[in-house]
Amino acid sequence: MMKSDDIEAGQDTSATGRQIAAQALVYSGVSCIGGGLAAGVAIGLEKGVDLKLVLVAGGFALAGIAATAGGLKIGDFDPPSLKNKAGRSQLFMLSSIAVGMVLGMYLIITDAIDRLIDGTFTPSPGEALVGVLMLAAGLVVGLFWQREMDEHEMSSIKSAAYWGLSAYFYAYPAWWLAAAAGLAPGVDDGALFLAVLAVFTVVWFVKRAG
Amino acid sequence: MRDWSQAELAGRLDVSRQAVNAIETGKHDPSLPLAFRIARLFDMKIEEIFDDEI
Repeated sequence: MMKSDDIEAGQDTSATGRQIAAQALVYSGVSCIGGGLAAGVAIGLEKGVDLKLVLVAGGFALAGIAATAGGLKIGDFDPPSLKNKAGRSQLFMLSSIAVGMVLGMYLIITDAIDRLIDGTFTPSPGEALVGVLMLAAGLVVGLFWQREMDEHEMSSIKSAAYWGLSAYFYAYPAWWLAAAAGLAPGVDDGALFLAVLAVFTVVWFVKRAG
Repeated sequence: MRDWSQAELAGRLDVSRQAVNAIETGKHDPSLPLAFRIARLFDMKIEEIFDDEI
């Protein structure tokens, strides 16, 4: 291991905790901004805009801005830039966050999120086509993004992928067995997908925090 | 060694600040190519920078 010349015992743990908290603040903040704005637009279109809506939706978005700003302040993030690998990787990350936010807002504004949750969502051919194209583009972007990742980021993603796959590998048959014996409701693909995503995200956050 | 911040060192090695932090705190073992880059940067041998005991 490298002998540190400037890290004192105990400092590394708090620095890692701070970085994990910073990531959680940024991502939840962005979700609040998008969710607040989208919910405001959706409810405004349906019931009209009033002061209460502006205060609640605006407050939610402002809380998101505060959380994002707080996360960026306490986090030790590499600045986005085209000049170096870490900067380019951050640009890919920010682009993905922006696309995710727009997609989330679309799902809320069109009410698709409710139908997704209760299992009644049926996309129009146009929506399906756009969705498939976005996912295909995501795969291509991922190939370029991978080239800009440093080895620590890649190692973090590998750990997250291992635990995400393990969660699926064990949870699916366990749930299926329990459901077959009448001990649990039938396997919910959406819930399983979200569980795998949650495991991946938590492990990735912790590992990449350094 | 050098009076570089983690950000400066990360820039010189073309890795993220988190990578430098993880190496310094022993949470990430650098690959051989990165270990050589670090050694060259500090003008030292690899075994003078890294050891196999914490």
